[in-house]
Amino acid sequence: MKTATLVADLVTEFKTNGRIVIVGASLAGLRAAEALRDEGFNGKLTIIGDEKHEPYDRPPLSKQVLKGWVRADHTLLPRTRKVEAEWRLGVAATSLDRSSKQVRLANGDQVPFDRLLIATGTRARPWFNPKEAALEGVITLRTSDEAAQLQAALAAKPGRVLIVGAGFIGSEIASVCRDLGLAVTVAERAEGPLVGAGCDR
Amino acid sequence: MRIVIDLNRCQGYAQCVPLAPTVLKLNGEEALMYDPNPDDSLRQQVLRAAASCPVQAILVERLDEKREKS
Repeated sequence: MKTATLVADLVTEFKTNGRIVIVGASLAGLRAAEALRDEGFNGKLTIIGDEKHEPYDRPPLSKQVLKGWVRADHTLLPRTRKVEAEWRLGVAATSLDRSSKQVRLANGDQVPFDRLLIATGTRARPWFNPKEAALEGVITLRTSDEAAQLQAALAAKPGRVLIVGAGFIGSEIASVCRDLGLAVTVAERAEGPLVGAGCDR
Repeated sequence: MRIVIDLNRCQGYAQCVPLAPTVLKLNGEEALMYDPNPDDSLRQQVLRAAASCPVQAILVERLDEKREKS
């Protein structure tokens, strides 16, 4: 058999019966799943996400959601096609066994794969002392649930809001707070706002 | 219904705003804010707004089928 034929057969076999697991059920994970189906992958597709929500859009969380105009659970992403995936939402992937090709989940389940895509994105950097980070009124902003929490806290009209970090998110929150008539203090280790985001001056 | 606006692409032309004023709003002079999951009754307005965007930054879900859940 010619090599080209052999490869074509393997590709066809994989597209029909292969197993692809995507870890991360946000924008990148969803669009990757849609792209795989668009490209003719008809095998088993599993999408794992640690949050219970189906894929949602994050940029509105620091803007219209905090302002109180749009609810935190109303930013679900549009789908460009059906992805026919098995969704494992609300359970985090905790480890990876590369030799047996399995993803282990926080609830002990194992998910086998032929190909794995890690699309877990980034996360907010929490306050370094976990006990202090758990104090009431200390909030990080990355997820929809955190946005709901922060929106409620701002709506309660606090006397002053301290924002640690003057990157995009910190600056946006500061802007929303001012729109809401709240006093704000922003702490930033760089010389000015948005330095880490690429603005030198 | 579900929409998403690519804010990296959006240049603040604001052509869309008057076509669906309850879904799309300007915050200040050029920052666009929008309702990502507006009511289905606004679909026609939103489709017109999306079509009006000079840089095609508005993506509207066009799936006819019921979305899969679970």
